[in-house]
Formats: sequence, C-alpha cells, structure tokens
Amino acid sequence: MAHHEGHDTLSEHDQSHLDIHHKIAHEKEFKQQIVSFAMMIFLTMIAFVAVASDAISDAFTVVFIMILAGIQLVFQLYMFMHLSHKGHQYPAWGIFFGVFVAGTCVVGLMGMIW
Amino acid sequence: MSAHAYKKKNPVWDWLTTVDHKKIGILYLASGAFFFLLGGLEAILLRVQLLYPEFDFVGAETFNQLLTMHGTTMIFLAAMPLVFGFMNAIVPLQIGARDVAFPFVNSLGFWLFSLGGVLLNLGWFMGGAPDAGWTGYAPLSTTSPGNGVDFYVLGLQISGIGTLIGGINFLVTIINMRAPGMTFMRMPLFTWSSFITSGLILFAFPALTIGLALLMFDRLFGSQFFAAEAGGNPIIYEHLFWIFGHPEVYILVLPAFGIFSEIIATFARKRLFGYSAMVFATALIGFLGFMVWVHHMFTVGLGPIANSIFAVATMLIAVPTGVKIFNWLFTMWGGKVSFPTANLFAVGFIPSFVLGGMTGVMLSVPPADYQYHDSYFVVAHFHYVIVGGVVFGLFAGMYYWWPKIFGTLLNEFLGKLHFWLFFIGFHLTFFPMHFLGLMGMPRRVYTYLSGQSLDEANFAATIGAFLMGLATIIMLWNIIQTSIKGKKAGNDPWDARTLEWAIASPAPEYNFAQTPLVRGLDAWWLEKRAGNKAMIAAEPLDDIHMPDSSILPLVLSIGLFIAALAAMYSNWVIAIGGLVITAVAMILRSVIDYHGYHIHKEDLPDEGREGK
Repeated sequence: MAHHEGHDTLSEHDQSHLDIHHKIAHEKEFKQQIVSFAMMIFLTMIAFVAVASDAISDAFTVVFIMILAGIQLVFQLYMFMHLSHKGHQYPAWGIFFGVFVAGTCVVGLMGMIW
Repeated sequence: MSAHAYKKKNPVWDWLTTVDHKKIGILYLASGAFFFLLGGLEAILLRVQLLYPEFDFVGAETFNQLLTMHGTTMIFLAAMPLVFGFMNAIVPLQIGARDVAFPFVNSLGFWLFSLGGVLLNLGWFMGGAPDAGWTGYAPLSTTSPGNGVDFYVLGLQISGIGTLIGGINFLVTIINMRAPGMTFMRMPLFTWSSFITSGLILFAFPALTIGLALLMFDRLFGSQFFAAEAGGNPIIYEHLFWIFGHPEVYILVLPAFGIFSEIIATFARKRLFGYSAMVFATALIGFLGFMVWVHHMFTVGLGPIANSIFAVATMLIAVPTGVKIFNWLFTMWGGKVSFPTANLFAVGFIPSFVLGGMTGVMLSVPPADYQYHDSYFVVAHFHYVIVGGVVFGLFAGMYYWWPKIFGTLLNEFLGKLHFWLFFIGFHLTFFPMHFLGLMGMPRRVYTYLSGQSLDEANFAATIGAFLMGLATIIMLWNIIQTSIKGKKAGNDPWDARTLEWAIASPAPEYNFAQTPLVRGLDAWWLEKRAGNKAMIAAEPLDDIHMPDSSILPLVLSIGLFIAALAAMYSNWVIAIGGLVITAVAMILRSVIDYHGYHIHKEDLPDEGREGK
C-alpha cells in the first residue's frame, strides 16, 4: 500500500518482501472492489424493484432509494475513487466541505420556504 | 522549440495564445481596469442624475440600466478580474512556482471571463442594457421586456464559468506547486487569502450558476421556476443569489486583506503581528461567510427564528475581522513605518473599512434592518466595505506590485495626489449617504423631491464622485507616464519580505531559474538578514520545461459567446453552431498532445542563476 513508499534505501531482499506485500494488498483490494461492484449492482436492482413494486408506498420509496443512493455514493468514493488512500486528504476535505455547504443551503431552504 | 524562437512570435498572437500566468495576470488587470473605468463612468452619470432634486439628466429608464450595469460591472467585471489579475501575477511567484498548475485552464478562465463581460455590455448597443438591478431579482428580471436581462443572465453565466475554473486552478496550484520548505504556515498572507478565496469561489459560484440557469429557462424557454402565479417561487432565486452573493463579498475582500497584510508588514519593516491568528481569522471569515446569506433577506418575512440565527452568525463575523484589524495596527505599532502610496492606501483602508464594518453590525440586527433596508444607508454601508476595502486594496496592490509586474515604478507624487483626492472624494460621496438613508431616501430610485432635506447631501455626494473621477484620471495619467518613461525598478524596490522580490523585475518567463528553498516565514527577508544576495536553490540548474501556448481557449470562449448571443434571439441554428465550435475546440484539446518545450540551461542569463 501507499504508506510503504518513501523508503528509498532498501536492500534487494527487503524490496522483494515489499513487492509481495504490495501484491497481497493489491489482491485484497481487487477482491474488495469485485464485492462492492456486485453490491452496487444488487443495490441498484433493489432500487428498481422498489420503484416498480406496488407493495411499497411512494413516500417510502423516495426515502428508501435516496438512502440507497447515499450508500452507493460512499462505495463509489471510497472503493473506486480511492478516497481512503493516503494523499487524498485535500479531495476529501473539498468533498465534505462541499457537502456541508450544499447541505446547509438545502436544509436552510427547506426550513424557510416550505 | 527553443526559447529564442519563442520570443520572435507576433506580439498580438502571443497575447491571444499565452498561457504564462504573468501575461494572463496583465490581461486580467487590463480588462479589469477597462471595466472599472466603465463602471466608474456609469457611477458618475448616476450621481449627475441625482445632483439636483427632480433633475432630468438621463431619465428613469436609462438610470435603471446604469444602476444595474454599475453594480454588475464593478463586482463581476472589475473587482473580480483585478483580484484574479493580482493572484495570477503574484501567487506563483510567492510560492516559488514556475507557473500555475493548469496553464491552459488559466487562459481559458480569462477568455471566458472577458467574453462574458463583453457580452454583458453588448446590451448597451443592442436594444438596452439589463435593468433589473445587479441582483436580478425575479419576478422583475423574469418579466423585464426586451433582451436586456438576457445579456445579464448569459454574460454572467459565461464569465462565471471562467471565474470558477480560475478558482479551481488556484486551489490546485497552492496545494501542489509550493517550493520545497514552503509549508502552509509559511505561506505569505496574500497567498493564504487567495487560497481561501479560491475555495469560496469553488463552493459559492455553483449557486449562482444554478440561479442564472433557472432564470435563463424562465426567460428563454418559458419555464416558471420563479413565477408565483404558476406555482413557482421567486424567493428561491433570492436565496440562490445570496448563497452565492454573500461569499462573493468575501471572495473580493479577502485578497484585499491579503494585500494589506503584505504592504503593512513591508512598510512597517516588521513581520506581520499574529501571523497564525491572521490565517485562522481568514479561514473563519471564509467559513462563516456561507452561513449569513439570509441577512440580505431579513425583510422577506422568513420568520423570527431564521432571522435571529442569521443575525447572530452575521455578528460573529465581526470577531475574526476585528482580529485582523488589531493585528494590522499591532504590526505598525513600534515599526519603522514609511508612507509610500501603497501604504497610504493600506493605512487609509483601516478607518474606512472599520466604518463599513460598524454599519454592517448595525444592519445585522433584524428590527433595525427593517428601518435601514433598501435605503441609502445600505448603499453607504456596502460602498464603505467594497470601495474602502476592495478598491483601496486593489490600488494599494497596484502601487506595491507594479514594479514586479512591469519593471517600473509608478510616480509617487501623482500616486499621493491620487490617494488624497480619492480618499476625500470617497468619504464625501458615501458618508452623507448614511444620513440620506436614515432620513428615508430609498435606493435605486432615479430622483427625489426637493424640500425634504435631501438636497445638500446629494449635492455633496455628487461632488465627491467627481473628485474620485478626477483621482482616477490622475492615476491613468500616472500609468501612461510610467509606461512611456517610468523609472526602472530594481528587483526589490521596497526592501520587502516575500519570495516574489527575490527575482528580477519583471519576472522572467520561467520565474525561478532554480526552485528556491524556503527556510521560514518571510523567506526572502530571512535570506537578506542572513546576508545572502539570493535565495538558496533547492535543485541543480537544469533545462526548464515550459507549457505550449494555445489559441484553443479563445476559440472555445468565442464559440460559447456566439451560442449565447444567438440563443437570445432564438436563432437556434447559429446557437448550435457556436456550441459546435466549443465542442470541436474541446475535442482538439483532448486529442492533440502538448509536449511543451524546454528553455536550455545554457540560454539562461547569468543573473538568473541563484545560489552562486
């Protein structure tokens, strides 16, 4: 993983060890990505079913698929856009402050207008 | 391509295609100055109309257009580009960078801004300028006849895109391009304030984009977002506008604060008092700036809870602003203060801005605001803040950085004349407006009746406006004189503190032959105190990689300009043609490889090499 970088002076032996670690970490991440990809398809299917089904009320459907969208967003940012990795602090700050500003505006507008 | 071949380019083509941050800075400054003169002329016409009661100089209709265009021009087309001009010209030098992070995007930002500005002003020649106020409130703006407000909507939309990508560019530049050793807490205050301003641009401009887009749909495509009779809600526009509009005030004034921090420290010959408190205060002002927009809408009737929350948030902003004021005073305290023109503007700013801040706190109290709202008291308040803060800051920055940008020194005698005439004219114009407002004179109205004790103050205000006009003419004369036969400035004419003064004036196109090593706050001052003639280099002398210039930003912007203009007249064939031009330019940018070119180390002048 990224935190191994920065050691410039390594023996060949150490280097090969690191390579193995990298490989293991990489495989682990690959597995995670496959799982989250399957999860996302699953969540999308649930969302479609919720909208298509008559058994679920419309009001609940809206809230439900919004929550699903939120979960998908987190998957997207952390699994596929690597927000959790080192060196992504600035984008993370930017995204969260943007969410905060947009949230303030939406809550403010909802509270004051309707 | 060698540096030698580069220099032989046709100068017009060179300026149209440049991606050099220093040249783009000059383009921003020049177009900002042009729009500043235009907005100033509009202001003087407004004041002549108000010279006498029931005076008929331009009439009501033209007055509304002048009023709208004065506000819009001054905020979006004068103050914004002038701020961006200084950010472009100075920030990369202050952080020891060779250029901004995205030189192509930088040039695109400029051309979008300037063509948007031109589009906005075309209304004057094509059936009437926008006349719904600089805020463009619906339903006045959605029902305004003719194409005037269309120019406002589309012109601002295009120039807004330019500003937004400019802001993103500076965020990335300041995060990624700092020289070795230049930690965040060693950045000069102007860089810090540019950084926070860029963040505010990133988060505030989308609200304007949405507001203008909805307005565009209402006006051009018959939607009814803001039409109350059709189930729309005009208050949404007010909210969107001020969610953008209030941070915009800080977008303008924070860089001015940064400029004052540089100038006051330089001319007090002391390091800035309370550097970390200054940084924190700047960040806090930026953060709180997003939570106060409703104070522009106290009288809308949002209820006591909403009004109280936003009133308290507004009052809070006075705290970090007060921290800054005291830090500037303490920086001067015990310093060896000298008063060249740049510092006169900086010191003149402090009492002027404090007056504007005080009236701001008065306005933040909702019951009192019901009395002040839409009166000349508000006009006095925001001119004290924006002229006393932003314009003084831009003038101060001009006198301070002129030698770094152009290599010559502005005439100090003319400069001081400019300051005193402007300072006196400014107070003469806007101070009486407080009383005009308290006596009940409404803003945005083209005339007033006699016998209501409004005559004398209005007359005085107009005389003050003439004085400011005269001061501006003297400034222009100074600029022309300096351009023809200005005194050559050395690298460091003010014995200043920050990195930009460590290199030649004007800076060479590659800025730093070798990236400097920064060893503390006020990096250049530290080296001078240590007896060094130049910055210590952080890298060996090597070939310098430079970005390719490109005409595509201009082509892309012209495409959007054509599309917007044609859309106003519902000429969809030409509008789509314009968008095609833009799309083709974008595709070309994506498929053509730009390799840049190298300036070889053998071609660098000897004095460009540092650390010898």
